[in-house]
Amino acid sequence: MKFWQSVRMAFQTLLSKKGRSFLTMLGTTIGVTAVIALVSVTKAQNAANIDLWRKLSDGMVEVYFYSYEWMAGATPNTVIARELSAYINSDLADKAEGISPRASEWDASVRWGRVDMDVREVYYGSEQFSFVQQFELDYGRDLTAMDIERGNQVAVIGSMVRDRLFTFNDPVGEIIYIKNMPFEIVGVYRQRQSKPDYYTEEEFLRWSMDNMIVIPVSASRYINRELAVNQYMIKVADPDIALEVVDLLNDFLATLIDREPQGMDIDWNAVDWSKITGNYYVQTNFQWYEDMDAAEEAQTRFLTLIAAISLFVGGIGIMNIMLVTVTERTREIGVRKAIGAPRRTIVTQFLIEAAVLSGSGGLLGVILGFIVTLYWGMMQYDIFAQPDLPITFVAFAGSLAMGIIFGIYPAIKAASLQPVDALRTE
Amino acid sequence: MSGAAHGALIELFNIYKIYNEGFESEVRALDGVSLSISQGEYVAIVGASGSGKSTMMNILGCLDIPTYGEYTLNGQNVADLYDDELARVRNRQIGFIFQGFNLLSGLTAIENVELPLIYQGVHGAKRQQMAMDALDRVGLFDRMDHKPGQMSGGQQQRVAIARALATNPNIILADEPTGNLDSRTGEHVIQILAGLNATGTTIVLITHDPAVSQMAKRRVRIKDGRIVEDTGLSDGRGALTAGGGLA
Repeated sequence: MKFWQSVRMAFQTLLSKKGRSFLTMLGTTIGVTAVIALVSVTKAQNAANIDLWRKLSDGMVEVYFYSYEWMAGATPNTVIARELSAYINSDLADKAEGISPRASEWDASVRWGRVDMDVREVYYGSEQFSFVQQFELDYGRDLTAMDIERGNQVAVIGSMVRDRLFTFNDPVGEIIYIKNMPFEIVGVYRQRQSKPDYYTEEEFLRWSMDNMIVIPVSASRYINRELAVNQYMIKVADPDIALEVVDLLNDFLATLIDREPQGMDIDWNAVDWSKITGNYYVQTNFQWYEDMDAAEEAQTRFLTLIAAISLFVGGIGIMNIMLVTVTERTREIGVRKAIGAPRRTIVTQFLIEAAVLSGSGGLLGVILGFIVTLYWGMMQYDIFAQPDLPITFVAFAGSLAMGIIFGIYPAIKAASLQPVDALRTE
Repeated sequence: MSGAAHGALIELFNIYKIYNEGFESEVRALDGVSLSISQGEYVAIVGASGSGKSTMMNILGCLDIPTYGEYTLNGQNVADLYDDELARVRNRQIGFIFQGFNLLSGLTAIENVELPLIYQGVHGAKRQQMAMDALDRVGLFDRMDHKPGQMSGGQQQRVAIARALATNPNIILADEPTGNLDSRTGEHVIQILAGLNATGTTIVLITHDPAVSQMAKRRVRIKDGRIVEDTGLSDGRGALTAGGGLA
């Protein structure tokens, strides 16, 4: 029999029992809908997250030292910072734009003459602070290597600090007091942020990126004697090589620092005391994203598994209904066999019917899956979730395959009926 | 071999159909039947319910295989063929007419008639033409797009006859073809069968209705799985049981 004729006949048969066919299809439909919607929305969400992280990370790599067992006499902060800076600025010159400590004072009182204010954040920076934090100079000069070397009491201020303290635009050369210690203003950064509508004036003053001051990290002792700088920010030339830089820095730090022995049974004799011992980690936002991505991938796999199970259950429903159909149509099968239908034809007929049943369910699932994906994406995550085409194909093919696999047993059962027995049934 | 005519179309030799053989519940539906039917004969197989005539029909129609014995159909031994081989034989050699018509209710008259041709692998316009010819021969050319539910019993049976005819089989096996019809339409069906026989088709009719069996040229009576009368035999066995002389 011609294939399309069989398909057409299968459709006719299914349409003659609309309610039952629909209920049987429902299992497959739900399975396919679930697969498409879950995977598509998760993927769209992932994509949105990547964009977000990319914006947030901006190619920043962070080095964090903790829990030192410092060698006696060394000033580890300085030693490591110097080595790290040298490495960044020579070996990694084409990959990294700069390095600066990540250390600051919050809500520091600052005074000029009789005017005073609370500055949101006073950073302890290197001469590369403005590269790393992406500030641009408006007036004067930036911090220099000399400032860092000597611990000069100089400051570069944000535009908001300038606007609050001074009535004029160029306060270079003025002396301000940060926590009552005098610093000379050498530069002013250009405004980076204008007030968003949802901030009040007061809130904006508190949170503005421009409400800041940077002083040399080596001058931190004037403000905070106990400060121990243990974090460094490195600006990478291109966010895409952030992970590569993380690897390079890990390799480099391994040559400088021995991992501090961990646990109770430490073989102290094996520790190489010629190197600084300590712990550190190097990371990038991008790395967090990758971890997150892996987690979401696992989540997607899990959801797909659940959806596949529901597809499987739908398949069992199809097998069940096909067995009922075979029983109901025993006489028809008998007639067909009596007038000469070979086994193969009967098997094909019932397989096609099962495939049409599950395929229709699958198709309905594809349509529903698209709708649910779009709706869910909009409502829940406020994103345009595009239905994922590969998974749509897989889900639909899966539903068809499920129908065929679960149709095999009923079809063989039908073909194995003896015509004489089949004709005898009413 | 028995004394059957050489080159017979149907040759049953010592056919047994035994259910539950060797058990207490053993039933011998056919108990050593030998029968020979030649091309062009019109044979009625008669017998009471439970006599074994339906089993006979099933064996003759290759719907069932005998427990023992030889069955040669058109020169081919069919007693030990497989499922699909039997299906092929049924499709090419035999046309069935059933008491309950056995049309497929979802298909139109012409689609029903086309079915055996489809299984034979006849395609397209040729198949349609053959089906239309068959419907024409039973006078239902104008009803070919009707479904069985839209036709009377007599019309349905004529569609069934057309289906049996469509493949130009050697034999038409009719199992109580008038059983579900009123006498007038039944007569019409019998007339069609007679007409077919007149054009050379071998017809084997199974019935318990004496009026129907009267139409046949030869009558074979079965009782308890054995042939007790055969008006077509020249060796006198038929005459003996029938209680009358026969040429």
